[in-house]
Amino acid sequence: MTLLKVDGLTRRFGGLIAVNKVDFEISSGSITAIIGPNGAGKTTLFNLVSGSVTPDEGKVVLDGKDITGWNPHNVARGGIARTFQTTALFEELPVWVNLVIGRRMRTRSGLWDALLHTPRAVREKKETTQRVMEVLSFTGLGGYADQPAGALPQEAQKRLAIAVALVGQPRLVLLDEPTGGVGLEETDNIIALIERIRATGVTVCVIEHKMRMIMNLADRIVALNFGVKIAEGDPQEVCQDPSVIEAYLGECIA
Amino acid sequence: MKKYGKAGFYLLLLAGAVVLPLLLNMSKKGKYQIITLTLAMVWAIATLSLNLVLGYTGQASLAHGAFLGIGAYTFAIFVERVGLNFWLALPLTCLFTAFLGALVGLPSLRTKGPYFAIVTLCFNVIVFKVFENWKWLSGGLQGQKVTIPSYLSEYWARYYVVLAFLILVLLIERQIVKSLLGSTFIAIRSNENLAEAVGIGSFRNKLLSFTVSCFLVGLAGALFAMVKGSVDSTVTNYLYSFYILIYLLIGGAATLAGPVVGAVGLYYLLDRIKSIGEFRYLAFGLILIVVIIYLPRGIVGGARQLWDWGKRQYNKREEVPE
Repeated sequence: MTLLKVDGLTRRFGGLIAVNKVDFEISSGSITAIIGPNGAGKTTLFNLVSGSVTPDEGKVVLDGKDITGWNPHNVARGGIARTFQTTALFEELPVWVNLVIGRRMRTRSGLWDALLHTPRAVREKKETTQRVMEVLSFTGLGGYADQPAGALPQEAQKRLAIAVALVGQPRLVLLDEPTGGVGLEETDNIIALIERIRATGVTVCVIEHKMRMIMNLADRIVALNFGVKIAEGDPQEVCQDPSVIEAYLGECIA
Repeated sequence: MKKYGKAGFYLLLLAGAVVLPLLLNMSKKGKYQIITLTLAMVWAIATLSLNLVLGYTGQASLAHGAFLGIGAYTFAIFVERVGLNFWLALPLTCLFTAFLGALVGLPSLRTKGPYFAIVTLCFNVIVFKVFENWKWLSGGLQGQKVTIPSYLSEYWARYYVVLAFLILVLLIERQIVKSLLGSTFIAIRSNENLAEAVGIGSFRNKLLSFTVSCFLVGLAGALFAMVKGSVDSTVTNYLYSFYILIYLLIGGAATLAGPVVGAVGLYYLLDRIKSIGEFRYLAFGLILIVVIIYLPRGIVGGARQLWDWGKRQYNKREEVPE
């Protein structure tokens, strides 16, 4: 079943076409990887899907609903969570508060609940704490709960960014280089985490440069170059595709 | 045990604030000092209101002087010209200021960071000029008299009224800050893009924070009018925006005690050194520079750091024998 459908998506920055008539589909419960050289338009593609950049042409359809041009916060509420290439966290706040904020969109208590301490405020706070605990242990961050997010080691920060995306129970998570700047051994931690995310039924789409990691992890690969989709298919196919080899790989390692 | 210690500490502070006027009354210039403290608490309420929108939500409003003045005038006009009852005029003033705040926030909160500060400062300058020149509205040089109920005619009665409202505002702000809504505000201050990415509508929440903040500064304005007994156009001066800002930064933004410490402490201190005239503002500047360089979280933030450091040292000492 198709969860996300991207149809003819285009975005120009002045004379540069950052993303040029890209279409692809992500099926429910899969792991899709987006690869390509620097400047290929991968991050712009994420920005277009998550709403932080508005497309010039084309459509983004989530589970049959056209979400093109939605605000980022509405896209998030619609069920697409994302992480950023340069790890974005609420740095001065403790890890657990980061997760409380990530959960906020699933709670409804507002000003009156805060002032009058209504039953809804109490219930939602309790539910939030429960979910935060779950995600803390799921991502293995329990030991860091009270530390400021900015003080965590790089790899733990990457996991926290994923945790913040997960805590709001999205249907699709977009991970922008989740292992960027992380050592080889620690990369395995994050790969294992991504696999566990899929196992809980959440669909994953990941931008990644480490081919060895992608070959084992992804069900499907979309390759971009100069904003254009140059190949799509399962890892073996894409890896042997001449245009991908020329643009990106040099040689196939699988 | 620890929790009771904290509650006990607050009760002690409260008892001190309640008993203070009785002690001061015994001294020679007691009346003057009580009035000074009453005004200082009004500034503390204004500073707490800025704390919500700047300290917690991260939006540097420089329009709070204008809203303070608007609150003061709205209250005066409700009481004197409309003839409303004192206790009815008070909440209506707050609601009106909040409504105006929402109207101003709608366009100005579209801007970010320093641009928002400049837009709100411009608004304050405009309001100041209007009140300065529109004699019918401001009452000209004499200003607008405010009649208060006879049971508030004693200066110490007004002290207790303002103290009660200060505590109420502290409780309100505490409730907001500790709630899920509070964490939403803090998220916007911390990283607005990420907040948007996790489903928080930043504009809506900034507008809410700004509106509530204006509600509270409207209350401060009304109390200001009550304590002074009259208002004139200087109350809308944009200099007050900066005073409130400085009280907040020195006391400690994004803390609950900071605005109170900053406003009461500085206002009282500046009043004590009134005899040196304009030179006292040099002290203002000096304190500000020292605090910003050495205590980025203000006096209260600095004290908290010191406390944590002391606790760590103490714990270390206990661990050594093992």
